[in-house]
Amino acid sequence: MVGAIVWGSFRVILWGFAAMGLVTLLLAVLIATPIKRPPELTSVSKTAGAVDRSDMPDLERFHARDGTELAYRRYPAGSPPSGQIAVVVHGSSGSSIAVHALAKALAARGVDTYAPDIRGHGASGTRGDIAYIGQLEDDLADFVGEIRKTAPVAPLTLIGHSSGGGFALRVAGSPIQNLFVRTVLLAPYLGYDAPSSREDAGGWASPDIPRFLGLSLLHRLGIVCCESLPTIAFAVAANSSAILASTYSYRLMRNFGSSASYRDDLAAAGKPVSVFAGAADELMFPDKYRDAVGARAPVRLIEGVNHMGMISDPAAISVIAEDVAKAGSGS
Amino acid sequence: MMRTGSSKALSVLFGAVKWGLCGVGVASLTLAAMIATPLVAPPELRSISAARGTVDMSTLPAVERFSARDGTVLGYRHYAAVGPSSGRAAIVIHGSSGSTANNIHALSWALAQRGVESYALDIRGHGVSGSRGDIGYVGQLEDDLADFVAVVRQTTPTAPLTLIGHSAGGGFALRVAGSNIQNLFARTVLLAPYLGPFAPTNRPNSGGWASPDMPRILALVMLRRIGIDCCEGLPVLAFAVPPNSGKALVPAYSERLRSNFGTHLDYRTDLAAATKPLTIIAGADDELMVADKYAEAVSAATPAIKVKLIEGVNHMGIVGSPAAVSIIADDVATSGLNS
Repeated sequence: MVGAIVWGSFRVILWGFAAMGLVTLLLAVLIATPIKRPPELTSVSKTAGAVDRSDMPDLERFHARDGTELAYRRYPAGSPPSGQIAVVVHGSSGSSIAVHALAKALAARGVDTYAPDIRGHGASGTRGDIAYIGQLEDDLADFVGEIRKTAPVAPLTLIGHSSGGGFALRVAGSPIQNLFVRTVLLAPYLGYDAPSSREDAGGWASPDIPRFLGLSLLHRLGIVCCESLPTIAFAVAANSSAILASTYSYRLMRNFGSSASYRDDLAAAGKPVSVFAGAADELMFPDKYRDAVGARAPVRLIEGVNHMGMISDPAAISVIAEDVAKAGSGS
Repeated sequence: MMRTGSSKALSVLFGAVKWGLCGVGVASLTLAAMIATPLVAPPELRSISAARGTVDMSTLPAVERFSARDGTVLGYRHYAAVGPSSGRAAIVIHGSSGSTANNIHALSWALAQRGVESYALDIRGHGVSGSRGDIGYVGQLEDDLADFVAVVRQTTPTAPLTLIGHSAGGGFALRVAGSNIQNLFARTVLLAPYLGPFAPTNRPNSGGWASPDMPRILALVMLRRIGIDCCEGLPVLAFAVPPNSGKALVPAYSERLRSNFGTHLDYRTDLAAATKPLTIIAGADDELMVADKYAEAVSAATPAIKVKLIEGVNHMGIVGSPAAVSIIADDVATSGLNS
């Protein structure tokens, strides 16, 4: 009798270990799947390369709460000042360099404008990685603290392009949403399941889906051990590493965008949100943004403008600058 | 007969798979338990903190920057040689948790005053270089150093270059001296170097300065042995820094930074691979290292390694006290470059 019980529980334990082993091996196979780099997407590099950056302001720096120095560019408001200030967040792989034309247009329209290099990009932190999911919100809050030293009260608009637009929406629905009076999303990436998203962002991004799933399962279990592994690669040009991040770690990929469902962010956002997109966007389906955000946010499409054109095309940036300067009264 | 034979083979195979999976399950649970062991921060080490503020920082040069091969921006400080030139140049590597803006500024400054063109680098993961406490992969620090030498060579194309490292930076300098980029340097000077946990000069937990998460380190080292580097971004080593020192100091290292910023597991493999002259200088009163064991620690090395102890100097004093830095500067400016 006792022997049968001992033998029975021994067998249960044995099978438990075997199941554990099977799960470990399956996870290992998922996570070991290598990442693939997509070929260069020339529409992105060409549009971005056409911008005149001869008058780009130098980088300035501040310390985030972990001691790491983060970089940004400041575009002081031209006259007449609008009384508004704006933070402009670049898209995936880029840096403040990418949004130069838009930041300059905002400043020219009287908006005191700040363009940070998001950690993991440009001159901020180590390329393509951050320390934990949520660090980008912490960095942004620290950055607003830095801005508030010199501009204590002016209303602050958060502007984000592409993945930076997804991240801006995440912030708009986050506990730090009240640092901003308004959020403007430019051709935002709203996640792989949003109606506005083309498959693999029109060839721009190549996610390592098995690895992403494996790491997401571990994340659900509270295991964050392996989140510095790269899970997405971008269609950047060869030899562009001096200015671009070619891959993102899991934690950067998860953090730099909307939450798992952008609808949760929209629902949690207490302040106004607007969407602008180019009608000729080759990474998104711009005419689906209205479906995607419903009545929650006004959507404005700009004819003849592609994905990178939203931050560089003269017509697009003047519409956006006008809207931000008038604090959304135009939309 | 055939049927029983094949079903017997099947059952043996099934049993083998089951036991194999059991083995993997037990191994993964054991590793998970080891890795899950939390890292504990040690209390502040007063002797280290007390050294802070004893060095004149008003002469600290501004940070300059360059892009390493992965595009990450790294910071350094250039101390232009003054007075009669020694014809030499030096790269100064700070110790664990620190940066160019700590006491080691006194040494970099003294070198320049002695006619040595000096460059002090914020190692990635420290100061203004990269994100705090982590790097991308083991070996990235050597890549960064090679990229940095290329930057130094733009302004100082030919002067013989001495690599100087303090504490963990001394361990790293020894690692470089034995690496395949060793010929970028004419000579290496190790200041109170940390030679790893198995060196006779080591005190337990580096005299209270560093607290390693041993179970986690062991598990991650085992995983690396079988080619799995998935989890090396986890913190494994905490330092006895004072509270609210985050702006100047790094409180903890990831496994890949810990493993890279120092010697290999056995420092003697680095010693054996080094072909250029090496010198060790340490304070006789070092509270983190057993200074009088340095001579014994390197006695087997060829060419022979010069070991010099300076009386009345402790671990931070070797890079901050006027007596120590002037002896080191003299040595770097004048010592023979041929072994």
